[in-house]
Amino acid sequence: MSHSCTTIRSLIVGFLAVAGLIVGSTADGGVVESPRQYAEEHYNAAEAMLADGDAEEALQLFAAIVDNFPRTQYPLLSWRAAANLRAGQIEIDLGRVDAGTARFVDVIDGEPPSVWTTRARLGLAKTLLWNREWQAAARLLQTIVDVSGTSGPESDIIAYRDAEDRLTLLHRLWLRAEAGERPWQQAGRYPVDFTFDRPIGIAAGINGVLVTDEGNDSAVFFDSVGTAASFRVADPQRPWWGTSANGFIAAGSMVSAPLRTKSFQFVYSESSRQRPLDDIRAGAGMPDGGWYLVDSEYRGVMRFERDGTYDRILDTGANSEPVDLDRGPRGRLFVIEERRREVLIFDADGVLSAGFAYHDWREPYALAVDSIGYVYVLDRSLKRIDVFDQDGGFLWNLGPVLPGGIELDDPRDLTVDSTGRILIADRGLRTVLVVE
Amino acid sequence: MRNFVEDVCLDVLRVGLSVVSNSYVLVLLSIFLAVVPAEAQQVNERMRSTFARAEMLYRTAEPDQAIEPLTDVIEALLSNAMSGDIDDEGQALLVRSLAYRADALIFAGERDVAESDLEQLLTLYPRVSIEGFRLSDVGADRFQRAEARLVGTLTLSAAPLSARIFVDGEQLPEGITSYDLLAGTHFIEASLPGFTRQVQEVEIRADRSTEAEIVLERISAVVRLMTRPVGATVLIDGKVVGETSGMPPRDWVPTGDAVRYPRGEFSSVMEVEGLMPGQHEVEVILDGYRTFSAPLTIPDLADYQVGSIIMTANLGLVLLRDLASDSEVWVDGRRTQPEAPLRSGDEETLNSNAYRLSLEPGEYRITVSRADAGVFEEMVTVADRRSVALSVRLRPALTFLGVLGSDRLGAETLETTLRGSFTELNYWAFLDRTDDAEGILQRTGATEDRLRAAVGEGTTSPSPFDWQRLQTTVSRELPGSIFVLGVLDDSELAADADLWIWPSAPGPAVAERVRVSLADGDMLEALSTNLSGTMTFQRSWTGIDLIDSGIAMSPVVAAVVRNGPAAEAGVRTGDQLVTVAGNKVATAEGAGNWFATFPPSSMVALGMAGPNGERTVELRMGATPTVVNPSEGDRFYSVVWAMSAAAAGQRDVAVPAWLVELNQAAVFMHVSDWEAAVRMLTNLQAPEVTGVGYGLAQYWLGVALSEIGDLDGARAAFERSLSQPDARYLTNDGLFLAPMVRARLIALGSTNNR
Repeated sequence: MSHSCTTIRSLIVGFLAVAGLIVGSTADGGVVESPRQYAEEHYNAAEAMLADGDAEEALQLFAAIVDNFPRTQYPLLSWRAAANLRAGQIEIDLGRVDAGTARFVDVIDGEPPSVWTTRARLGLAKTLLWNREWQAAARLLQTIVDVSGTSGPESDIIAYRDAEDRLTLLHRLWLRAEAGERPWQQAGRYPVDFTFDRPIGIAAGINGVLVTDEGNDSAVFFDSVGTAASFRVADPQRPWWGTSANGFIAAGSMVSAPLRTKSFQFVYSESSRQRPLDDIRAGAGMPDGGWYLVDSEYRGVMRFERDGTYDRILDTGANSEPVDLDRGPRGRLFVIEERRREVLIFDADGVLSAGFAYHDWREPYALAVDSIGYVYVLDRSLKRIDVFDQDGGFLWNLGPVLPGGIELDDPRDLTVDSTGRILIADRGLRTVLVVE
Repeated sequence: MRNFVEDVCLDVLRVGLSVVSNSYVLVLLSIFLAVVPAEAQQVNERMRSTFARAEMLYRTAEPDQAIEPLTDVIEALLSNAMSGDIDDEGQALLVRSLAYRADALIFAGERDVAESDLEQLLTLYPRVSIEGFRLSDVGADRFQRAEARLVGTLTLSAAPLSARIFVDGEQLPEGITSYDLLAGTHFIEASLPGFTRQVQEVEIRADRSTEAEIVLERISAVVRLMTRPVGATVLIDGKVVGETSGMPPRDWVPTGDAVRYPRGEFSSVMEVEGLMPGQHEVEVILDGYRTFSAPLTIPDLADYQVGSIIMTANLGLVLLRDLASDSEVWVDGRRTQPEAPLRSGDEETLNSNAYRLSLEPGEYRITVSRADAGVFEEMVTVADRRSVALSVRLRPALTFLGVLGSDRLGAETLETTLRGSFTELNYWAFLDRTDDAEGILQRTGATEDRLRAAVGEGTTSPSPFDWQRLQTTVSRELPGSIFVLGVLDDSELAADADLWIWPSAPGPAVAERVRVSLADGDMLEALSTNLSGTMTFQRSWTGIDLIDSGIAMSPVVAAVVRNGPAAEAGVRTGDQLVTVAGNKVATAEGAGNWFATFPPSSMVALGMAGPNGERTVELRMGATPTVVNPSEGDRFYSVVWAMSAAAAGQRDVAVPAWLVELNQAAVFMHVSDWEAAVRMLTNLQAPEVTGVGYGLAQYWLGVALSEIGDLDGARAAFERSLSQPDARYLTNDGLFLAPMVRARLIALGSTNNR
């Protein structure tokens, strides 16, 4: 399970250790000498805070840049536009959608055309997609594609790719339905030159696809052109993608990051005892770098800080058996509770906010969330994939016979890429299927 | 007493001849002579009072007491009389003084001396009458005896009666038949144009009447004429006969066209004699006027009146076609009122509807301006009796105010480049007002130093440059839609220059600045690009929102605007657009480029593909208004303002007022003049339509009100914008406005979102 996400890597110019910075100290209201340099320094400091996981502090510093370098005095200061955009993105990630959207509109409306206005359009489009304002979102996304196709000031390759993918997703999920067509019209084997043994986990990210194979204790990374890189991972379970395009594999007593040749162990605190997690089955990364991990032994979803410090266990109910989870837009977390056969929805603060179930579920086993916020649930017993909207409203289902005739055998995991293609790791068929 | 002044002058001259080279003496002489005229004036005043005293004494019982004062008067005036340099008053005083003194001398018993006075009197004035003098009987008798002794009468008969008679060189009054003269020999001369001249010697005897007959013979015809104006050269048969001058006779009554001119503009009567009967040619020539030429038929030897010749000034005509009645017209910078067209309405002749300027031959700069519609300017060469027609096409005016900077080489380089670039701009009328601007710039403090300091100034500067004052002054005194002023970056050796550009009032009083390098041949590229394009207020529109999809070979229809062109043609959401007018399209942008080639109202065939197969639909192109983005970085908003104003003023361009005003509001928003934006947007009457209109106007009004702190007003404006759910941003196929409005409302803390 995993989800596609957009990172703003190019915004991080470098880190400056600015000790003792106090929010709001940027100006006393008068004309500041070298405003560009001053704003740049503070911007970089805010990015450093964000990288350290201090999202709220970073947000305040970004907001201070916007307030202290108003347009009336500094009409062409691009750092203000950048700071406003980043502040909006943080607001969104923290679940404060309205505040974030207002910042995006402020940038779109009031700043000269630049990569920041393009990214602000993208931020607004994401919000509109979430609200199912398809037409407005489509217009915004196409505008991004149009301007990024030129060499003008608004051209931004990252936003362009993201917008392109979302437009395809829109076409698939919305316009095909408008035209009376099915969103997914054909299925086939994942077109890569690789032989799987027993694939059991799959996650699609912006850089490529991670597949875990228990048959040969490996994790395989496929880039955008299908080139494979294989890593040995003992007891591989489900993979997921974190922030900064890092791929992780749940692997029993540890979490492996094969692309970084690293692995992590986690210790759970129960009363006064420290107990290592021994049966990590799935996980999800948070915007602040934190972890959510599903451990079958403890039957819970646990939250760990960025540095691995145990935070808390989520309330999934008494005697629950969470089996999979995924992160959705706006910091929401979706968890399959197998015992009650339902999907639980937690907000960005980890508080249970909603849940849904489907009437004939027997064994909801795997879950994925797309960039719009649609939830895809694989019922292993039924060999069926059910698709729900952000509020849990049923939309479509697929399987056991997929479009084109392929019948699922032993589906173990699924993921949805940025264009809405569904990838299924089927252990019985010994392959990865693509439905598009 | 002899004339004191005259004697002294003579003495000084005698002395001065020997010392004339002495400048000191010359100075003294100059001073002395400068004093002389004043002395003569005082003599007359003194003489009046002296005579008055003398006359009073004369009238008393002892008239001999008057002899001395009368002698003073006589001595003061006699030499003038003898030289003929005496005015009427002096003459009257002298006559009476001589008569009274003679009478007084008789009373005093000095009859010989009295006789001398009487003889002197009659010698000077043989026609004098003593009626009213109230001389004594003896005195009167003595006078009459002297008269009989000295004066005779000349009796004249002249033919023709109008002959001019001169006696001893003095012309007699016309019609006189008898004339008193001193006894002796006199010469009579008679002449009249067209007649022979006659001279006679006549002997006048005292106390006798001597007859003289004068008969002049006609030898030629005479033509009499006057001209207006004075100073014209008259030719008869190609020969110059004279030049008119003077003033018309007092009894002359103008008739015909002459009544239209002041009397003083006419000459005196010119008499041209020597003409024989037959055909002649009269020509009258005067610089600046058309030559008057007319045939002259002289039937007989007689006098003929040509009358007053009114000369016509050399004038050419400049016809101003398509001139609106409320335009202002200047000729060489002077405001001029052209003559109204000869006809009005839909007449046959193009020129008959043209306003007219009558100008003397020469070169002129004709300038026309009308409100914000623009300016027309052209140099014309006017020739006499030629007309030149100008089609007045108003264009927004780009007025160049010159380059400030002491580095003259740098300034000239920039000026030359600017002039060369600006004159190639077809859309603009280029006005070079460098000379006129100099004074304005000085008065408004726009010096090179001050404007260099203005770079980087914002509103928080302690003493920002007063652009408002400069704009107001320049707009009032010079025509222009936008003004351009260059400022070198250095007084001695400039490498760069700033071009300041601002719109005329009431546009925003904010100048935009572009820095150019004097070494860069393409220094004006950005500015020229902005100026060379025209502003479009509408363009083609299909009413389709297309998207590019990775799972489609062609752009996909994401939205069809309700009641738009695509909806009418039957385009459906989810269809793919395969071809435009038979041309395959692969991307939404490509389709858009094809659509742009079809003007509004034209038909275009679209190849569509859907779940039920392919089909072709015929779409009639619509039109979308276009509004400038207030936040574009590389656009000159002064240009936007000027082009908008020109569109509003040029009545042949079908741009609705609300659209022009919306674009102008964008300019105010760009310069953050929120109050002005609020004023403009509040009064704007935009239509409530799909796409661009009321929704956008209210949205911007909300933004502007937010900026000035009127949050309640902003909220209300945003709510009104939301009442237009199909509103779009900047164009009918722009971003949907509702999400932006809702975000603003939420930011304002409104609870009425969605």
